[in-house]
Amino acid sequence: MNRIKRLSDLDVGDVGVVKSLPVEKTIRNKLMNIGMTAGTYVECIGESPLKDPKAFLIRGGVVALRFEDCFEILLQ
Amino acid sequence: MGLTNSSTGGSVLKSRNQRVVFDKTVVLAGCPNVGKSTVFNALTGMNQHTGNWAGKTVSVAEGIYKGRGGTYRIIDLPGTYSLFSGSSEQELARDYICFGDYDLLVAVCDATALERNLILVLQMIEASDNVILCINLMDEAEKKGIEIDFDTLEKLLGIPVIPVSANNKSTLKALEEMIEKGKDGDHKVKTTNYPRAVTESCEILMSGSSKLVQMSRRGLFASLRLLGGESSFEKAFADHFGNQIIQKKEYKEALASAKDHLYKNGICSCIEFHDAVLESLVKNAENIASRAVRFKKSQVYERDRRLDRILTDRKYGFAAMLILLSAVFFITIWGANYISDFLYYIFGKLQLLLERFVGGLGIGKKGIGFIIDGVFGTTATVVSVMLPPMAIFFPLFTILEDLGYLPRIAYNLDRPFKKCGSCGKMSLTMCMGLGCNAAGVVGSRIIDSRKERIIAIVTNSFMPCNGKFSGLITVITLFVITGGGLLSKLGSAACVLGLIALGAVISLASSHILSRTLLSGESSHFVLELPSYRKPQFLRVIVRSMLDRTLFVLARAIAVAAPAGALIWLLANINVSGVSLLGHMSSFFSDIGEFMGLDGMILTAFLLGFPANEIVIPLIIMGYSAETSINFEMGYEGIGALLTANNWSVKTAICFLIFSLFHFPCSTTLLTVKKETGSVFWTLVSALLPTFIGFVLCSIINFAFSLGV
Repeated sequence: MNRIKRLSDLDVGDVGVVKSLPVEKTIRNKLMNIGMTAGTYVECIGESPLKDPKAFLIRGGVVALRFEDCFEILLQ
Repeated sequence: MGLTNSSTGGSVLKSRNQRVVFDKTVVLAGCPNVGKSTVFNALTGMNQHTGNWAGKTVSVAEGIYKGRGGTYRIIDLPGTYSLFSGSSEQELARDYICFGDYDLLVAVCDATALERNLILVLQMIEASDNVILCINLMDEAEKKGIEIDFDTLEKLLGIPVIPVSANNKSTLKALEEMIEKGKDGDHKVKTTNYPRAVTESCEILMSGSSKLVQMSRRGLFASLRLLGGESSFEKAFADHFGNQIIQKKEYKEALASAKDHLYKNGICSCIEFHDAVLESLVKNAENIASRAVRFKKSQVYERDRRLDRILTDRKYGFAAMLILLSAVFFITIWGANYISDFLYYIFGKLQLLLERFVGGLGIGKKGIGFIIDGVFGTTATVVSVMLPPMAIFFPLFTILEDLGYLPRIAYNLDRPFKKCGSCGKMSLTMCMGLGCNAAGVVGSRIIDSRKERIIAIVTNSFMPCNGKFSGLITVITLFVITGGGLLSKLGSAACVLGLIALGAVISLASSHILSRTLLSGESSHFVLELPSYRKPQFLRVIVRSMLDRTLFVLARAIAVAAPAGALIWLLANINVSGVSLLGHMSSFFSDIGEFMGLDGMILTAFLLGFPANEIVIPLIIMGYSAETSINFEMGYEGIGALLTANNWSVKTAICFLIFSLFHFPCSTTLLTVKKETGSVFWTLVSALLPTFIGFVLCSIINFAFSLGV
């Protein structure tokens, strides 16, 4: 079975394209404000010493996101 | 991050109203971390202050720029990512840009992340009739191989574009000229194309209100927010034009039919509407950036990644953090000693002068004692003990911030903090608390979620501030780690670090409990920007911290310590039935004090030390010497002899250390908590929680010692 791919599946060095954002309003707005929408290209470029959160390159800026928020972000 | 002058205590007690006539008002706005305040500082120099605007917890910096052609008022709005509602910063910026009275809006951008910054710029273009774009950090962009085509950018946006590197003042010329002359007229502003249904529904809404039509381009900005169901914007709109504007029948009908139109086109909720609007903005920004920005190198910046590989590495990350923080800490304590000694020396000389002067006044021995021992002595102790660590700690901390390292600490520590119901940013407010708890409380603004912010505020006083350090170190060297030499110095430093660690553990434990009891249920998210590492501007940092904080602390010390010194002296020297008032207080508290392994005098000192923690030790000294009439000599040995004569043992010392760490925060901190949370309840919690913990811990320690003896 083909599992849905999520942002949280990306390891350091992996890239992906966002398909949909979390439904919850606060996090959705925050992500959109930093330029993440459907179709945005994302690259995982690092993880913190305890593996969570991870750092992503989004539109030229680096943003740290937690696992549970990444889990809600689906990739194409 | 929010560690600016306004968030580190500077604004707590300071607010000035200036009545100066300005030729123009210029507003700076932009995303966080774009060097907006560097531009602001470069323009205004030292002519600035921070004021809290009525009814908002957000502080806004204002300054004056004196150009050749006149005097200009510069307003530095808080950094925001968008002009939709979200945080209080965003709402303040949105409402000010849309309805505020100003002549020029300068949108400040980071050249290294232009695409993302453009999303905000596009919103500002809609919200204001007079925008120019100032692209900062051009030097960084050059290093990273980013080329920006300003002509294309100007054409695509339809506003003037000025490149600057705010670190280098000479690059600001063009911006200064633009501020003085105003922008030239031959620009035709281009706005974002929204989906047809969105534009049409905005037109329908505007047809219902003549005011929206009059706002011309800003009418679209307003309609987008009114249709997006932003109640805070509707309120600002109604405040600006009078409440009847949204009560009118035509407006309400237009709103309903606009929503109906959206519904017919498949946009059924405010969220879908908001998505559609933002998506168009993001697409437009992407499109503009793709035509105006060229990357000569890969977008992944090698220098940043190399540093991150060490500083956020699994093996070295925490070690690096520990080394950096300990270094800050040791430099503070070590350097503070020298400045302290110097200040003591100066105050000693001053005292001689003052004694001679007061002696000539003929006010008797009591009067001289009141002025010299009471007012002057206490102020001198407080200033020489508390000022030096502050003067060193804050610049060092600001340098770490300028480097871009602080967000990495939050990134490294997020996981353990999350486990305790908070987030990594709390580690930063805790660090700030080491400098000053009031600063830590104000600094908690960097935490977005209300639940986590309150946790950070309430637990901040578990971190011993600079004012407590002096007492801790004195007692440790006298009772816990005695003897001279390097080994005992290291031992006492380790002891202080241990106490800080204990404070951190208790902080986390109480966050854990708070997040599962009083604050349960509120969800939280974590979106943390990791900016590029930048070279700090050492000189600027030092000058600014001296002016912003050191002078502020000095003023506060004098304002608090002088009257406190007077009061304490009176309490120690006014006798009622043969015993001083201080003695009466001390015997009143002696039972409970002894239960906690302390005595009445120590407890009294903590209570009277409410205005400022740094007067606790001077209070104890004054109280004891008044009671026992021992001739007290300045210096560690004198204090040691006095304390031992008053039955201090290792147990008393340990209980003192613990209670010093865990008791009610000082009055400034509590006032700040009240201001930041707007709640009496949380203010009470932040006073009672540490006191309760201190009481319990001290009683346990006392009990354990009584078993052992």
